Parts: sequence; structure tokens; C-alpha cells
Amino acid sequence: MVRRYSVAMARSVAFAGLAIAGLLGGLLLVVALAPVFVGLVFTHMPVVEGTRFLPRLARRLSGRWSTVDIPDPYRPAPEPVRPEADGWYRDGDQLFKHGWWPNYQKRFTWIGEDPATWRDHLWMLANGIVGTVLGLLPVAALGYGLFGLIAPWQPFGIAWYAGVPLGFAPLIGLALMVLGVLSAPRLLTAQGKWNRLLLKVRRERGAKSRPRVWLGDRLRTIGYGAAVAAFGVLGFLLFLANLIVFVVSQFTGMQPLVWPPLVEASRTLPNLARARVKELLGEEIADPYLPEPPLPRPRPDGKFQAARHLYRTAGPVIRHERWKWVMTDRATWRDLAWMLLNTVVSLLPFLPAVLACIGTFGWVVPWFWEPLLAYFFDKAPKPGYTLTDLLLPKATLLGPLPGVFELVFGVLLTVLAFVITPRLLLIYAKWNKYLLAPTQAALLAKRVQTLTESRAEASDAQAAELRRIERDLHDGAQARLVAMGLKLGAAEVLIDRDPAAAKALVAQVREVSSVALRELRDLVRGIHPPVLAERGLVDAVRALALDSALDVEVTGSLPGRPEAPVESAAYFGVSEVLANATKHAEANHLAIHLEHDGERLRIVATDDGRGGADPVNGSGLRGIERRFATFDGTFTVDSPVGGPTKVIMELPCALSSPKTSTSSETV
Amino acid sequence: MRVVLAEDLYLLRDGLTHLLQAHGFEIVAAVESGPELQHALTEHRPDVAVVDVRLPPTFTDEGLQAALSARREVPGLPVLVLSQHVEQLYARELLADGTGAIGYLLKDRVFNADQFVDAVRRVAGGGTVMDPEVISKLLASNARDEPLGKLTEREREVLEQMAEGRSNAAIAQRLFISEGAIGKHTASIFTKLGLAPSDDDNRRVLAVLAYLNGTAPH
Repeated sequence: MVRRYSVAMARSVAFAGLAIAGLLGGLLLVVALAPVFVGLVFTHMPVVEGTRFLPRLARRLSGRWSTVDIPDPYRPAPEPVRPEADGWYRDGDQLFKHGWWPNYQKRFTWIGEDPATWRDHLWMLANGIVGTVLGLLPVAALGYGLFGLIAPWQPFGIAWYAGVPLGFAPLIGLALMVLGVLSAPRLLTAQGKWNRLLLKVRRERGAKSRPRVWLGDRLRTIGYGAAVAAFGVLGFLLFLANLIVFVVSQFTGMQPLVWPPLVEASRTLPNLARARVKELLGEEIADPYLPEPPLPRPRPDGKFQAARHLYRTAGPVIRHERWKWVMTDRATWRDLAWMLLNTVVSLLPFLPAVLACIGTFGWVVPWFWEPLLAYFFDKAPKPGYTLTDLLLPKATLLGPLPGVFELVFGVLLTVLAFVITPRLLLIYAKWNKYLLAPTQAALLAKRVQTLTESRAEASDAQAAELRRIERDLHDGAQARLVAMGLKLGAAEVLIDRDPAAAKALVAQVREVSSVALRELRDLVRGIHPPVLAERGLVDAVRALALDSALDVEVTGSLPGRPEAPVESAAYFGVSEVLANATKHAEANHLAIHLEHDGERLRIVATDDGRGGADPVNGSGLRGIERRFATFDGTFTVDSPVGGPTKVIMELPCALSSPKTSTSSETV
Repeated sequence: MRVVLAEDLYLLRDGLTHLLQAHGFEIVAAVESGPELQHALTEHRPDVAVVDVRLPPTFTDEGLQAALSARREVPGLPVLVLSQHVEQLYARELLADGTGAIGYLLKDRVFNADQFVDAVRRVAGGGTVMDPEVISKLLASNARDEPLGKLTEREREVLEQMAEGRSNAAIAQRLFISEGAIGKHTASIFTKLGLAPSDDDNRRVLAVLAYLNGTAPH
């Protein structure tokens, strides 16, 4: 009993100590963070890592002492950068001789992007006060109460309980002591809960659900609208910059040099606005810009041609091409129009914030505030200022009006702001979409480019495939058939003279024919697996699963069969995924699910491997991606380091009439 | 011994007919399409059917489907399936009913007439004959599965031979060990796979099934 309370008090004091240490750490962090803003990044990260033990300790102690469990919220540390095959370390598009700098940058990004880092900062600073107060309260009450007991004797000549009759002081002191002791465990729990408030795992951004409170929701919307209005100002500035550069470069002949880069850089702003529209309307706005011009190829004489000029190097041609590219892209001009017009239109989403501010701070607050000011600070209060007089007519901007009008008008303005804000934002978003979305022509141009690329890749792949088949046949079955013919010829000669030798030769021929057949079988399997032709995709995937060394589970079914090329692409996609899971992912289990939603075939493969797969690095995966692109299909790999790897293959296709189902349901 | 033969390529059908007749089989029907096969199987009730997987009219797995549906009607009807390629998937479907008398071979195996005829006889006699290629694929994919993982290297070899349809004597000859030792190995395999002592032939089929499924038999 006594022990419980004394332990609680001691722990509270320890928490207070931790809070003070945290405050010092927090101040150190502030000092260490400052140089980052002038580009010196060497101080912040080590201090963050060095001070993390404080919030960590707080979490651990909250769990142990306050029985408030707080799991560590930190994102896992990044894996150290490993040297590439040539011994250099790669960070983005930069190569480094030594690993420490890319590693430092990686950790810097990790620390900076983790929201827990910033909550730790906040905790250190805020807990410096809150935690100290909470922690010291019981001890302080006990101590002060103790002085109450001896207050009648006025120790140290200090009136500890000034204003209290001396006889009561011991009573109050006793009460304080009891209160201090009894409150200690409660305050310890409070300490833990307070820590949890700041130090717990939060849902990552993006997973946040929409707030359900209407008022909070609308308030946020108003704030959002005000923030969005910044696009107007920024757009106007950018428009001016573009205009000046355009005009000046036009007269100095520097346009191809400076104008295209500026246009490209300027696209950042409309792109940001597009992302906002996506947030507001929930629909993606496709990239409206024409695809970049390809790099120029030299003429047979080695020169590069731009219009009627020939150049020795590609530079001028590239600049010319890019100039033509931005000039002919209608999206460029639509962007500029948006920048200019949006200056005015962006006032729309800003309006609610203005209304709410005017209503609240211009009308409602003064209605309370002025009489109060007058009451407290006017040495000679005007006789009119009593509570009932709030309702009397007053001089306002709109002439003399009843006093209550101020209140009603202010409230009405604020409410109006709250009511119209979503509508205004919607109008704003639609206006943005009108100018920022790609035009029909831009969409078509994009489509043509995609089709051209995928067609070229498909025909390349097909040619390569045919070459491979030709080579395999030439080196394999064809050669074996020649050998068989030779051996049979020899056997023909020998058959009368040396029947035993002839027999041996015929046996050899049989052997060779077996080998030739096996090779043909493998070749056929690579072109179009027989089981796929015989049974369709699902059973073919089942057959793949059976042959795999992994534990593969195949679920789902298709109501019919896709067209043969699509089926084949899907099959080889799954085959590649299986091979990768076996070879690279160190997976044991792979789940494959197939379905068709009426428009597209969807195959999802999930393994339990170590992740980190990147289609860019796998030539096989790249090949499959290309093959899928021919059918407008997508091949998405989601493979965080540490796993699991999830591959989603989607192929738009129709299904032919259902075939009788197979007898096999289980694998 | 009465045989129904289904093969769409004339040359191969003719060749098989001669081969089987030469070895004392009676060909009661040699057909070239799925529906004909279905009809012949139910009408003639042969001692063994030799069936190609891919047959007209769809050129998919007509032969296999016809064989499976005939075996549903006549349980235990001996069928030897021939194919240009072997799939574990098909092997499992053929073995699924657990009645034995099933063979599944690559067409290449026809080259060795003696072995092929032997296989036909074993299937007709209720045995199970799986192509070595099926077996080797299984070995590759089921290497670490329970309970087969409990078998010793030698026992796996014996089981592999068993799956190819060989008798204890034939296995002994192949592995160069005594028939008695093979008997011990098979007994040990049965115990490890949890097969109660009963009709020995049935247990052999079940063991092979377990082997093919990579799991314990029920």
C-alpha cells in the first residue's frame, strides 16, 4: 500500500527528469535543425538519431510504469547502399566512390520523411513543460503540505500560507499531502496517456479517413480553399515570368535556348494543380502534354538537319525540336491561359476564408469585445455599456442598426462561408479541369505514340522469337534428322555384311530420334505450351504451379477463354513471375489468383519472399511488360524491401463462349 | 487381350495396331476421334485402352476427357494414355479415382516395343505406369514436402520405380539389390506413408498416389 504510492511518486519524479532531459534534447534539436535551412545537412540527422533514445525511453517507461503500451512508430531503417558490380555506389543518377555519402543521404531522407521524427521533436519540447508539471505535482503537493504542518511556526521566516488563518494551515497542508500521495498513481497514468498522445503510431498519410465532424471538416475545407488560392498568385507570377522571357527572347533570338526549358519547368505548377483536382474531384487528370520529341538522327553524311539548316552537332537540332515541341503543344498555351485567368478565379475558393474571418473577427468578436474592453479599461465607463445595452442601436458600417444585428450578421456571414465552401471548391476544381485536362487531340496524339511504340516493340519481339525458333530448329531437330539419315545410310550398307553393327546403328538412330523429339517438345513448350492449347489459362497455370519447386496455390476461374495471344501473354507472364519468385525472392509460397471482371483479365500473384524486385533490373520482367503493352495490358510489381512481392497483371480482353469446365478443381 | 486404340495420326495408329497385334493383342477398335473413342469404350469394354490425349474434333484434350468419363462409368477400366508431352496436372487427374489400372506415357516410349508392350500388359493387369519424365518432375518439385521427406534416398528410388509400375522383382533387378531388401524397403515406405497392411497391390497404388500428390494418402 505505502510502497505502491511511494513507488508511484518516485516514478513521477523520474518522468519529470526525463521531461527535462527531453526539453534539453529538443532545444539541441532546434539548434541542430537551423543549419539545414542554409544547406548544412550534417548536424540534424546525428542529433535526431542521438536523441531518439529519449522518446524511446518514455515509451518503454509508459508501458512499464503507467501500463500504457506505446509501440515504436518509426519506419524501418533503410538498407545500406551496396556497391554495384563495378565497385561504385549509386544514388539516383549519381555514382560515388565511397558509400558513406549515399548512405548518409538515405538516412537523412528516412529520418526527415518519418512523421514520427517530428512528433518526437514536438514531444520533447511540449513534454518539457507538461511532463515536468505532471511529474512534480505529487511531490510538490507533499512538500508544500509539509510546510503547511509547520506553518504556524513560520519556519525560515517565510509566510508559506499567506492569507490563510494560521490554525487552518496544518489542516490544508495535511489535505494537500494526502491529495499528493493519493494522486500519484493517477498522475502516473496520465503521464503515460499524455506520452501516448504524441508518441504512438499514427496512420500514415493517405490512409487517413475523412473526418466525420461536419464543423471540423468544413473548417479544414475553408483552410484548404485558402491554400489553393495560392495557385492564383503563383500562377500570375509565373505567367509574368513566361511573358517577359518570351518577349525578350523573341527579340534577342534566344528563344529556342531559354523558352522551352522555362515552359517545362513551369509545368510543375499546373501539374500540382492537377493533383489538387484529383483530390477534389476524385478523378485523375491525364498528363496533357505531347510526348517529348525523339533524339535526332544524323543524315547519311553525319550532319544533323533542322528545317533547312544542317548542323555538325545534334545540339541545335535538339533545341529546335524542343522549341517546336513546346510551341505546337496546345497544352502549353492552355497552361499559360490558366495561369493568367486563375489569378482571378482562385479568389473563389479563397472567398469562404475571407467571409468567415470578416464575420467572426469583424462582427461577432467585437460585439463581445468592445463592451468588455470598455468595462475593464475605460476609466470612466460610458453609462450605456451594460449587458442589456448590447441590443441598443449602434453605428455600424451600414449605418445605425440594432446592436444585435452585429452578432446576427457576423454569424450569418460565417455560416454562409461554411455552407458555400465545398460548392466553391467544386466549381474551382471543374474550372481547373476545363483548362488543365488534355484535349481530345492531345489524347489521340498520346495514344498514337503509345501504339507506335508498342507495335515496334511487339514486332521486334516477334522477330527475335522467330530467330530463336529458327536457331533452335537448325541446331536441334534438323541436325538430329541429318544424323539419323547418315546413320540409317550406314546401317543400310552394313545390314548384310555385319548385321550386329547395323543393329547397333539402328539402336543409335532410335536414341537420336528420342533426343530430337525431346528438343522439339521443349521448343513447342516455349512457343505455345500444349497444356495451354488443350486446357486454357487456368489449367495451364495449375500445370505450371505443379512443376514449380515452390508451394503454389492457384485460385479463381475464368468463365471462358481469352483470345489466344492474350492467353499466351498471360501464361508467360505468370511463368516469369514464378521463375523470379523461385530464383530471386527466396519465397516459399506463392498465391496466384485469376479473374475476369467482364472487361479485363486480372492475375494477382503474391509471394512471401524478401521483396525488393524491380522490373527495371529484370530483363525477363521487362520483356513481359513489353508483351503486355501490346495488348494495352499492365504489369505492376509492388515489392517493398522485406517483402512480400505482389505482381498484378491486367489485360483487357473479351472471353469466348464458355468451354466445358475441366474435371480438376484441386491442385 | 482386347484393346481399343485411339490415335488420330494414321501412320502411328497403323504402327501401333501392328505392334500390338504382333505381340498377341486383339485390336477390337482403332478410332481417330473423341466421340468415336467414347462410343468404342462403352460398347466394347476392352481389357485395355490405348489413348492419345489430343484428338479431333477440338484437338484439345478430347482423348483424356473420353478416358476419364469412361472410367467414371466403368471404374477401373484400364487406360494407357499417350501424349507428345506429359503434365503432372493430367497425371493427377488420371490417378484421382485411386482405382489404378492407369498408364501415362510419352509417345516416344513406343520406340522401345518391348517396354511399351510390357507397360500395356501391366496397365491391363491393374498396375500403374507413369512416364519417367512425370516422375522426375515430381522429384524436382516435391523434394522437401512431407511426408515424402521422411523417406530415405533408397526408399525414394524404390517408390520411383514402383510409380513406373514395376514389381518388386523388377525393381530388385534394376537397383541391383535383393528382392528381400526391396520387400523391406516397400514395407518401410508403407509404414512411413501410414498405409495399413491390406491388399498389397492396392497399397502400391496408394503409395504411388501419395508420391504423386506429395501428401499423405487418406
